[in-house]
Amino acid sequence: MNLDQFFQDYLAEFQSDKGSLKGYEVSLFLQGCMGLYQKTKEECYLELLKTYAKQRITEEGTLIEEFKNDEMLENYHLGILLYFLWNQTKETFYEKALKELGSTFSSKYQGKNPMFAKEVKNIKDIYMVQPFYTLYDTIYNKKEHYLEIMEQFHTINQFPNDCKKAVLYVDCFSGMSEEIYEHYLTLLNLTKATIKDILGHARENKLFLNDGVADGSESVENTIFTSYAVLKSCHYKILLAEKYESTGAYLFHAAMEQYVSHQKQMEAKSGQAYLDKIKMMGIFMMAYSYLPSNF
Amino acid sequence: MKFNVILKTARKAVIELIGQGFYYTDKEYEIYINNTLYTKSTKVVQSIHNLKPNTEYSIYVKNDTETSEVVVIKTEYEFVTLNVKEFGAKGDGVHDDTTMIQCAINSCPKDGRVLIPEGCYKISTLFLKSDLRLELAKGAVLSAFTDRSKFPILPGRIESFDETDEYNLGSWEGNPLDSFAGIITGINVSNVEITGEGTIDGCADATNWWNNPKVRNIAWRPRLIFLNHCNNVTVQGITVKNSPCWNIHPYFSDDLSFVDLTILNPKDSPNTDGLDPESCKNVLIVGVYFSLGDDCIAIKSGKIYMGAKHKRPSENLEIRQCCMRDGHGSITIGSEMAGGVKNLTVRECLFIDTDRGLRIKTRRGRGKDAIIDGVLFENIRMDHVMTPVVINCFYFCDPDGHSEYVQSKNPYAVDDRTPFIGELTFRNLDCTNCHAAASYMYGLPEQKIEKVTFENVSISFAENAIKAVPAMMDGADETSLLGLYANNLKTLELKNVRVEGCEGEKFLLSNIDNLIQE
Repeated sequence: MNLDQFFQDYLAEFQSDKGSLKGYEVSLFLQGCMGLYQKTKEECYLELLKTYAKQRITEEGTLIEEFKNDEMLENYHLGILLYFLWNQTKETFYEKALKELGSTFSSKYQGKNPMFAKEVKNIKDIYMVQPFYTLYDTIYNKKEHYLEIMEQFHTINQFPNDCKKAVLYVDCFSGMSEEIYEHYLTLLNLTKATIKDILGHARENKLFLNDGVADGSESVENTIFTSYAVLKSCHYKILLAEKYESTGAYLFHAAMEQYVSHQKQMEAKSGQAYLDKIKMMGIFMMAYSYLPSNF
Repeated sequence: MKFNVILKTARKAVIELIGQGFYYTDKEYEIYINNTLYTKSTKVVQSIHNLKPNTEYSIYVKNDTETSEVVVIKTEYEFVTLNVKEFGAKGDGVHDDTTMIQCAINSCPKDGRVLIPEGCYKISTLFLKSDLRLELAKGAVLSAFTDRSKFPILPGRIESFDETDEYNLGSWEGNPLDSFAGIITGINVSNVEITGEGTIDGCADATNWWNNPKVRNIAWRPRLIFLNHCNNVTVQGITVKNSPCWNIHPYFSDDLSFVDLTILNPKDSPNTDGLDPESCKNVLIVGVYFSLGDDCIAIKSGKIYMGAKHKRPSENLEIRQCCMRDGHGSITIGSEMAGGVKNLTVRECLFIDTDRGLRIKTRRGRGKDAIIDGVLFENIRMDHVMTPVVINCFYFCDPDGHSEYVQSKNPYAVDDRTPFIGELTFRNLDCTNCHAAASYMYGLPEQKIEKVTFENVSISFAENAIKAVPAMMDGADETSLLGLYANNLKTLELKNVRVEGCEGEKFLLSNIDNLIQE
């Protein structure tokens, strides 16, 4: 299967008027587009990302009113997109908007991560804020909240080790600075320990696809999330690529095979099933962007 | 007149005059080799070049009033000379001579010499090997390319296959980070001499390595000479200049001698420390001239991770007959000193136009292994040094540098994060034309500086003293003509200490448990 074409075909399916969609699922999809643009340099991904951003910020680089409501924590993931677009295009209005978004940490939350002020936390919600909070502190706040951020990672570590937690860790790691090395290494070790625990548990209980036991959409989802975490960790030298890359690749292809055969039986145009597809395509794209070409 | 022969190789000797001055002699003198005038000099430490191997020489020195005794030396044995031009190096300032010179280095047998004759040799990185004598002749320049793509990268941390250990090659500001290999790099090498009258020029400027210096660009900037886990290395006689960042960086290396060197960088060049021994043992620095853009000598032992992992202090260092000028600190300890610094002696040195004479930078969070102890400064002349002695236990480095934890002057509990400063002695210091403060010492309230002794110290201020911040900590405002400030010391001994020309109190002492003043 030509995976480049497979994902580009889906891109066409995900029309631009779906730009009003937001949330966890869409965030993953956008992240997948960012990854595939970096891998393939196909302009279609960048154009989609620009179109999406255009509906949320003005040409002067201010956030559109509707998206200024920072009580909707999912808006913070927009910061990741804005940082990416600024890096790729060097258009200053993207940076201006992301700074406006990041400044709400200090203006509304005294510099703290709003996610950790909430009583009830879950990994999915934390994921919508933590990577941008970490990145913003690294790039624009001189890493002044790193001690606090490390405490947050230790709080996150209280959650059971699963693939979503691994993805959260690895996506925060890419926004950390190596210059505060002790914290950088702590997060590296937390990420590594989480992934190794997941892999060990999955091997022991034959939970990988094609083990003859695991099946179903939940397994596919867990497998592809794990694949992404492993492959990205290999890229960032959290895991030894020589030992783990093949596992990440195996998981990717196993999940892809299952997913494609199931998708032929399902068509969703709206509702949760539709969002699930957006999510799954997003995480597949994210993982694919780190899949080495020899796999 | 008396002198010692402090270094002798197959082709060089280095003499050090006794009692004739600090870096510069009080009078010009002449050196005679085999009764023939070799040179006139005004340096206390002087190299003698162009000797022959395995040969006896008689040496004496004289000035207008005295003549020394004759000292006879015999130079060391040398097997062969490998002239890099015979290996294809062109020395024309254009051709990339890296591979040719590297070939000569790799081919050099024990007791052999690689000779770089007069010429300008463009290079990227040269790697040393064990049992190497590398000589840069007069007029020889190793001139570095500034294109990053020509430099190999030393990875900071390589994980072992069994995932239980790691291998460290690169280093940046106390952390194991990917950095470009040094222009001259030694990794795990022993018995190396780099000598001569030639020059190593990093060719750095604001259009290349010094552009955006604080940002990693592919990897962190290369040093001019980087010695990683090396042993018994001597660097003598050469000039190093225009380094991309730190000039000479020995790292986890022992038994090192740096003799009669000249280290030059523009005053505004970023992070161009002169010589930074990091977690090194048995280091001799004699007769070195520094003029550069950051600390002249900065003694280090890593940041928190490296300090805690390896617990390897820099220890047994002797610095003698050096001239430090224009930099930030003449001698600095820290701020990366999480492994500690022990047994440092500095004597007969000249500090001119630096911000600080001795500068100690530490703070809460550096760790319990960050121990500074056994420091002696003796017979030092300082002129136009802003503040002669600064001990700052509230140095505002790192992201939390301005946090309450680091900057609070109220006591915290002593724990695993608390650094320790032991005994420091300053004897026979003559400090003229100071500007900001006579000295500025601020210890932690919960773990005071153990003991500081000032003995026969004279400090006077410049007529038009310039205001400056005496220490980089919160709450230390710009000042001038401040007396000797000491806060949070267990014992302070002031014996024959004169402070003249300050405004206000000569001695501003607070929270001193035991004050001895004569």
